[in-house]
Amino acid sequence: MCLEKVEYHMKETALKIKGMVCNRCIAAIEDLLAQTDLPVKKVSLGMIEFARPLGEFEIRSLIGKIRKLGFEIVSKRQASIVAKIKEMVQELVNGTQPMESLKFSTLFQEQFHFHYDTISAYFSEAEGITLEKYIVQQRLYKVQELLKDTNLTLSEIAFRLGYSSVNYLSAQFKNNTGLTPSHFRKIDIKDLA
Amino acid sequence: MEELVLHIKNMVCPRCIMAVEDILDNLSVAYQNLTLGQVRLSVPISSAVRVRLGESIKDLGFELLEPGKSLLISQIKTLIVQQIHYSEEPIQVNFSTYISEKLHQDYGYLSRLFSTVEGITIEKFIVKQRIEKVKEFLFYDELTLSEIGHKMNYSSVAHLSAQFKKETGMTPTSYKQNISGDPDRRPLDSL
Repeated sequence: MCLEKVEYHMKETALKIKGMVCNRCIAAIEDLLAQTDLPVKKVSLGMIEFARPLGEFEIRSLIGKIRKLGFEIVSKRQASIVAKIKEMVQELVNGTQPMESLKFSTLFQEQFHFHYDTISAYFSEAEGITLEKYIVQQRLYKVQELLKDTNLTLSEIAFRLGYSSVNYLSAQFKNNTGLTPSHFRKIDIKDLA
Repeated sequence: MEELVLHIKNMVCPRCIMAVEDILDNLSVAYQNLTLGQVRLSVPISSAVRVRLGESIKDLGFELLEPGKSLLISQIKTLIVQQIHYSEEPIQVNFSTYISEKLHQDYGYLSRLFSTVEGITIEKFIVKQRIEKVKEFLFYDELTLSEIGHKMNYSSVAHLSAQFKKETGMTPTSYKQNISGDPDRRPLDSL
């Protein structure tokens, strides 16, 4: 999993490190820390504890050095997965490819190598909304955008966004917004006028 | 005949390799390659250098091994550590077949030797290494238990949980809850 923005596991004052398995690993980290003036409390297998939380700059420079020893930092799993999911949903919703053949659950599973239930649970926990609901929401935003900004017919929109039928799209739209798609389009034009 | 291969006990990770590398460089010993448990020298070293090397690595918890029984035991351990902790693919054959093929020795002999000297069986050593790896995965909090079980080639989560409980006294779940207080992980070379 490659993410541009990694969120580090800076839970309170401990930094979790991946790949530490023996006393030489501890010695290597201790040597590295001795060359800094960071307030180290304790180094154990898998973790450095500091006397206070580190600042952004301190963490970044430390992480660079830790990686040079062949270790990795344990990132906040949930935060990074959730960020990536949102990015993927946006890409798919905004893409020009018809989404009919795409299955989100399969895509996520391939991307993260986690079971879909796990991914979905992280998402709900972090976002307070289920992943399914989030995808529905994002697609409907796109439907609204297309209704406003283009002359595409509803069936063209339904096809482009991968809805199985126009009826299904209409029902979902009504269910979530209280309006029918055609009503929404009309209101919008009136507002502009 | 001058020996070009040196055997080192207790090497278990890339930092162990880096630490030995530093020592070899400090002593100006030229080598062709350095892997877990083994250095292939470019030219033979004098016995004086060999003694200094032995002392330097001892300070780091390593040990130079002469060919013999303790070398065989060290090689068995290295094969197991490599397979469990650093192999991308789960092992395709039984560990017994794997070890006896790699070391060109009868497994029955190796097994008896290991148990006699180490006080635990090879099988038990393998279990300990696997459980330590499971602890490591649980500590990272990146995979679910069933994903860990799958990755580590356990036949079921129930089997993994039972083995974990037997080794650590805790269930994987209660271990995970205790992690922030004390991860209680062991150096791989002390198992």
